[in-house]
Amino acid sequence: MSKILEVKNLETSFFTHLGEVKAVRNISWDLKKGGILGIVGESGSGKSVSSLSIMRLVESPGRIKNGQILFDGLDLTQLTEKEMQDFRGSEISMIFQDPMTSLNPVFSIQNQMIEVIRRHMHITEEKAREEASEIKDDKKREAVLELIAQGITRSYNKDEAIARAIEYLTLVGIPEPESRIKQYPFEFSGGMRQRALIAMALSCEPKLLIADEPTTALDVTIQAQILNLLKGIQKELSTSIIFITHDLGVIAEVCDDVVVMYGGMVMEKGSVNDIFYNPQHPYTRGLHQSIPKDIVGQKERLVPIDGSPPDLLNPPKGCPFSPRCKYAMEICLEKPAPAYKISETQVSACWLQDKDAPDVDGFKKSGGDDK
Amino acid sequence: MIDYNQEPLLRVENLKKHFVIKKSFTGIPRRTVHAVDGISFEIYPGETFGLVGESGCGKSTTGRTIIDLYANTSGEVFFDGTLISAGSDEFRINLRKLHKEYKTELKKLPKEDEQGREQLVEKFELLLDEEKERLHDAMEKQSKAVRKPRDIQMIFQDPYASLNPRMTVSEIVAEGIRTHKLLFGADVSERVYQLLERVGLKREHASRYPHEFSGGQRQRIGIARALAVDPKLIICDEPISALDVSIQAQVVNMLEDLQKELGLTYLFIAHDLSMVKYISDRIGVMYLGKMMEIAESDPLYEKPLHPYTKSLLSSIPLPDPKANKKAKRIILEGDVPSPINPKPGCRFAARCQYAKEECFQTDPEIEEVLPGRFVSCLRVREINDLK
Repeated sequence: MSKILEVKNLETSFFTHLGEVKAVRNISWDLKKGGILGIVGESGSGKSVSSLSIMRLVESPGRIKNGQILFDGLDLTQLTEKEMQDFRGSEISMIFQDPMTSLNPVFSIQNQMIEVIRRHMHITEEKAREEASEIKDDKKREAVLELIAQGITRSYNKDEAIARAIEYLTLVGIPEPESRIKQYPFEFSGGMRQRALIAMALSCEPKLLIADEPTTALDVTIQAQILNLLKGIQKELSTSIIFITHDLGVIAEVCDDVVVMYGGMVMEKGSVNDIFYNPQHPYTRGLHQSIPKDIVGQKERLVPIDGSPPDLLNPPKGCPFSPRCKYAMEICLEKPAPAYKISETQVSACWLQDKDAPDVDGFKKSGGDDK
Repeated sequence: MIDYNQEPLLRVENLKKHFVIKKSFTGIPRRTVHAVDGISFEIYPGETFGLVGESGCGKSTTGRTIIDLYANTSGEVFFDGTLISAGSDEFRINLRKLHKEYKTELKKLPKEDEQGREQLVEKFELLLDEEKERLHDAMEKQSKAVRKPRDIQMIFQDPYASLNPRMTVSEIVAEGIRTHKLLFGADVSERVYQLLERVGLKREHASRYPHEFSGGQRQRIGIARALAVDPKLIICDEPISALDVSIQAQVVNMLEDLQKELGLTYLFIAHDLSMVKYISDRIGVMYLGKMMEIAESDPLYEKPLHPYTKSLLSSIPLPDPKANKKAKRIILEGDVPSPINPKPGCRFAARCQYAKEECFQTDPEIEEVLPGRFVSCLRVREINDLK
């Protein structure tokens, strides 16, 4: 399967008065076309900043220091702001954690939805030709036809945009979309707002949807509705999705591939089965042990990860997880580990995977670097 | 194991908490949020009782009403057999409503109808007397209630908002000790050090301010503050939901150790269903101010009986991809209805797949369906093939 997005050696930092906060430090991963990639990590692990970097929405004092973001082969880091605006909303769209703060309270849902549609959507060539044939003035008609031949058609007008918005509100399961579309965000419940945002994000048929903790602010029953909806959309419209969350349960429910982040770096990546049934990085294992495993059955005591997440102003010199890792060796404190290839799908960045490392607790060895 | 035959440590009887958001000119409530609407449960010594439900179901309000942070609208709370909180507001409002009804009825009657008037006066005098009697009883109970602030302590959800930023850690932890005059002088700081070490902090942390700590450490300070006055019951109001996954396990393990060591009893309020299952002995499931089901945690998760519990538990995504594929999810339609002036009948009826005509008419009482399992549903026996 071809790749829709490739992130290569991405580094994003915030240059604050206190010093450089390295939020994302040299991460690489890719997303298959039509796949769902989960990024899991705790607060401050850089998962949100990496997605904002893809959208080029990192605000000053932050900026992308280094690396490439290849979207269908095109490097997004090289685009100008103006070119990027054509991408946002039409090719890549994003939904955020808190559906109340990401909608503007003083505009109706309709107003906010058609803004995106009118900015990005153009009518089909067929329809444009039909319209052009009705133009009486020969000169004008010819000019329009020439533009059509170049592939430029007029953008949606208000009525067309509203019709499209209603179509997408129906798709995400909002009852009576014709009347609800005129309402304001405060008249929607949390789940409804998130649905409206998803509709807005999908309305221009993006190839990639970035969902940044879309269900964290919602209740479990509503979360189940939204996850179901996103899975349905991925099947129906074959949109690729990046799903950012801290909830391993949600990852297991929706994702095909998983990237585990910690302290701004990728700790482990692999298919969902690799990460859940054969985790090779001590941090991934730690995460699994610190949540209750079985809903039903024997109660096993939780094994917490001692200590607290690293300070990104002064990150540890070596592996960011080394101060909390019970397997930490001398080299872990000195140098961050390279990405070791475990299998075709799985990559783990831990010195334990080195061929010279001691054998402990069933951590696998790798033949060489992932390169 | 917990002995369920002994005297419960905390007994909540028909507890109600209503928030009036709009009053008429005469002071009669027009719009009332029925945050907690008549719930009863018991917590036994040494037990962890979990309270779960979606946002707005009244689980936090229950905790806050028990500890008297909110005035009780009606119902009683007993701690160790003593009445600690009682409410009379509901009867007062009822009396006013009745009085108004009396006046409007009286106005409707023509002035010539002397006999009718006499009958009406007689009827309402009787009703009013009864209502006054009830109010009187409730007020008397209220006056007898003895608060026990030392025995019940609380841990709050947001470790950033629940600590005073202008106080040092030692001032925060020692405040309760000083208020209750438990220790004096140098003993206080010695006790503070002891408590800090008990919750996994260091002595030198005592002189620092809350902003110098991470979320997990702040929650530890909150726990030390709660422990300072030797409580018997701790109400944990979503103590872990603001924390990172790896830190959550640290706090949960510590709460468990403290319980074993000090013989504490917990009321654990949370919306993370798998964590609640992990920590609780028994669980109460709330929906829109009503208790839907109470059961021991294992049987509850293995076979939920109430239709709401069924769908709630089925919507938890498990950290296990293969199990998720097999799992049958019961996805509820729509949202939780508003708790303002709720309709009669079962609160869950509008979203329930088993709802029948009668569910919209009659409010089900909570009853013991199987030993130790309390369910409030009219059709529970039918749905689950029970006798």
